[in-house]
Amino acid sequence: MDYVLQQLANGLALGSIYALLAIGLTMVYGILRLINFAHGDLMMLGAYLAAVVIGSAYIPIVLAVLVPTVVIGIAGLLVERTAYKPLRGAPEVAMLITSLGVSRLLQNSTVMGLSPQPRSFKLPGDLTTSFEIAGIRLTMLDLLTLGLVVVLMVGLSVFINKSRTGMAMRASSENLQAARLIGINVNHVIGAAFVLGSALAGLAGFLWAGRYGIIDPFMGFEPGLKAFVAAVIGGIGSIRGAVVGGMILGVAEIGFVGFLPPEFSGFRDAFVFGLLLLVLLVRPNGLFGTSEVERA
Amino acid sequence: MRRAIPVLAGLVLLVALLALADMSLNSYYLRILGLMGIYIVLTVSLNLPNGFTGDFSLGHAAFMAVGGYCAAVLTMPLVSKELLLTELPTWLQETVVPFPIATVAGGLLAALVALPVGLVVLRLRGHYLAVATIGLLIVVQGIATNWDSVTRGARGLSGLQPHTTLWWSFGWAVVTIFVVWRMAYSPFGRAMVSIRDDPLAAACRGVRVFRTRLVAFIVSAFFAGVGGSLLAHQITAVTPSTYSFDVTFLVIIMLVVGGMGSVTGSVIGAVIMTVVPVLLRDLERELDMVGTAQLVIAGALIAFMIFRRQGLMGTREFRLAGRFGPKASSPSPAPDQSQTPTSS
Amino acid sequence: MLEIKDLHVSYGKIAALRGVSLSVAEGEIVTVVGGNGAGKTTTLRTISGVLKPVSGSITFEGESLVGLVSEKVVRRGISHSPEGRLIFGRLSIAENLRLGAYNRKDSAGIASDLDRMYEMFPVLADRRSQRAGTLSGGEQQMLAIGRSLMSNPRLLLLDEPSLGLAPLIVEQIFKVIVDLRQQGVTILLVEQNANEALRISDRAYVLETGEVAMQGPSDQMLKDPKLRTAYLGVD
Ligand SMILES: Nc1ncnc2c1ncn2[C@@H]1O[C@H](COP(=O)(O)OP(=O)(O)O)[C@@H](O)[C@H]1O
Ligand SMILES: [Mg+2]
Repeated sequence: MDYVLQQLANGLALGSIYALLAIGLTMVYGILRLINFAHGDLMMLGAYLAAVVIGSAYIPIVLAVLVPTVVIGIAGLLVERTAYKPLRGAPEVAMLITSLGVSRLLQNSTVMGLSPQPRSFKLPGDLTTSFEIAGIRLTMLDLLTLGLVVVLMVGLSVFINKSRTGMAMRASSENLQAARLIGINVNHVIGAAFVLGSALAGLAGFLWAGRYGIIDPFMGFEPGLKAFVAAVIGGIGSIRGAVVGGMILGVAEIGFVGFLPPEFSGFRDAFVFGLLLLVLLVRPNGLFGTSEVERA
Repeated sequence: MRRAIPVLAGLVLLVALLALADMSLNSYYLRILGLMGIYIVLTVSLNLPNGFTGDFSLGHAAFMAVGGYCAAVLTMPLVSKELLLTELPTWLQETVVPFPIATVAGGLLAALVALPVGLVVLRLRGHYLAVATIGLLIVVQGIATNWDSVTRGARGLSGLQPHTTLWWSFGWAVVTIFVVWRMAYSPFGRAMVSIRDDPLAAACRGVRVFRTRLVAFIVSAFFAGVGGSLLAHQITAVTPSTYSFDVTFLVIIMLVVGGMGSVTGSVIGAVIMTVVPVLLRDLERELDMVGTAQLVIAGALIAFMIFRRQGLMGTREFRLAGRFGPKASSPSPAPDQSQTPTSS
Repeated sequence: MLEIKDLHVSYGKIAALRGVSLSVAEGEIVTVVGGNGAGKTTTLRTISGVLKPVSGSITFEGESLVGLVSEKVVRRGISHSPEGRLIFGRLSIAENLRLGAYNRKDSAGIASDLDRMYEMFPVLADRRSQRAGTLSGGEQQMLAIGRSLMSNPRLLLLDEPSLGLAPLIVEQIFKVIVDLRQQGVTILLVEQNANEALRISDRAYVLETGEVAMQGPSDQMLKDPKLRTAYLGVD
């Protein structure tokens, strides 16, 4: 029983990171119909930034959390303005290819600027302390992760549901043309979605690096894809769906590794994408889906 | 008959050039030239789904892996097999298949895999299809990395014979171009393009949409498998990273540079984007900055999408002289000429 | 008030408008009629900055609108209620209306205009917190008009407001349009339902394949035998 609970806790901790990533993907997809393949690479940059901040001196943990969040938020806006904005109104495929290009660009700038080699990522000591609650072993980082996700979720849902920009965001995600027509500055709305989503990706970078203790320039691509899977499971376009989808994916992935014989653990990624196909075929709108999946 | 003359002349010229290259170039340049032929096979075939039916697949490398591993297991010399692949079933353990047959077998196996895969992923379109096909690639990578008894996991299969000569890689390039051209400029091709432009309208006009897309996907996978085998027998080894996402990405760039929906564009794109990375890697060594080549390529791709989305050729075809070139029914305009000019 | 001169608009290589000129004076209701594909929607979309003209001029109260994005056009006092309504079905009715006032800062004015909309369309008032997608076609059309009015426009562009609605509802919509004029809103109305539209408007234009084929006071147009056979379905 303890083992099951432990796996559940681990799954939720991993799922929280997927959730943070999925939120940005789902917001941007909702409005622009773009899967931002570079989203995971923004997370990678966040991880590197966190490493720099932590390594530089004795610095309060708050900064290790804040710096990647803020800087990557701005970086996301820059990416939007330079690479995606010129493609407004272009076919989907053009945006898709561009975002692949951006992903590669970010990866290789890191390779060039730093090194292609993985480096270790050392969390400040206080975050690695672990303790037991009801037989479940958790680190401070796990707690921080779960806590941040809960707080951010509440904040985000207030923003989306109550603020003027949030309302415009929902309208744009339902019909971009109509939103533009009634006088909404959709570029502001898109910018806001990129800033928010990328900021969460930056934060996810810190949490991911802290969890695995190692970072490299290519670390972001797969989590980015998996976060998209999470967004699809939850129902693309839905923020609540992104969070729930992230949690489900985290728990499923950890469960897959934790409960099947070890020979199977090499297939965990295959399992995740198998899950994607299953969801797309059985329930293409996901759990909370509102927008229609493009189907043939 | 008259149409065949310039094509034949072109083939003779190609043979002459290849013979010349074969005699005069050193092995480094021969390798690059051989790679060019392989990339032509890959790009021209990826154009079928991505350019003609509008199903943007990112899983080409997955089918290459299927074909490559299959052919590698078949051609591997008996000594190597005894050493490396001890757990194969005996009939496989004891057979060595000639390279051409193994390559065709690799292509067929890839096509066979593409059938059920296509039945599933082609229910999707757009970004969903793109992610699902990346998913396929990740699944295949997972299998290649973990199916030790056949693939030897991350160590891969080494000690293959360097069967892929210039003649084989360009021979297959010619075959691929021929097949794809015949498909593209035929009633089948018009069906593909009409699906790309408007699947609903195509269905209304009686085009069998799903079947057409599936056939394009499977034929594309066949040549990807062939390309995978050619690549394996050029580098004389296969590992999971031989068929990583990087390969898909490079082929996508070739496709985009040439122009999606143009067969000759794919050839041009493959030629250019085989040479450019080589030059860039020289530059990279000169500067001693790893990543430069990839960075420039990624930047160029973005610039292409912003400034010349239709690629060099768009959906047009390159012809020496309209009158002599193979006659082609002109396909409809590119889907990417933005139909709604919006101010933003 | 609105002056369009020699307007040319294309979609890629296809020319949709080929030299359209029309004008709307303050306080008028002007109707544009014409068959499917004549270029009516294109005209409105160009005025509101969704499309960019190839050539020609659009001036509103003496200032050019060409090259302005929709947001700026709305700020100038023009509101566009699009063909097909395009309401935000997943947002509540109140949110739809409030989005119409997206560029306004006067919260008191917005609040009073909201009340005015609920007065004008009581069906909306009863269901203000429901999702707009739950409304019937006619109610959605009213919401679309209400949303356009929330930006406090002086000129309202209406694209086929009666499309697909039952005769009784159409009646109501046209009554709203007449009321609006009374309240000082100038209206450029696009309709395929030419008969009704001509009855409530002052002047009318007939578009045919991107060109103005006919124009004049609506009552004369109603009597025009050519027009009657071509657009009014009577002989
Ligand atoms: N998005 C579009 N892309 C290409 N052509 C279009 C588009 N919208 C309209 N058209 C063409 O422009 C012409 C005018 O259309 P439109 O203004 O919608 O006519 P109306 O509103 O009078 O029915 C038609 O020939 C139509 O086919
Ligand atoms: Mg219209």
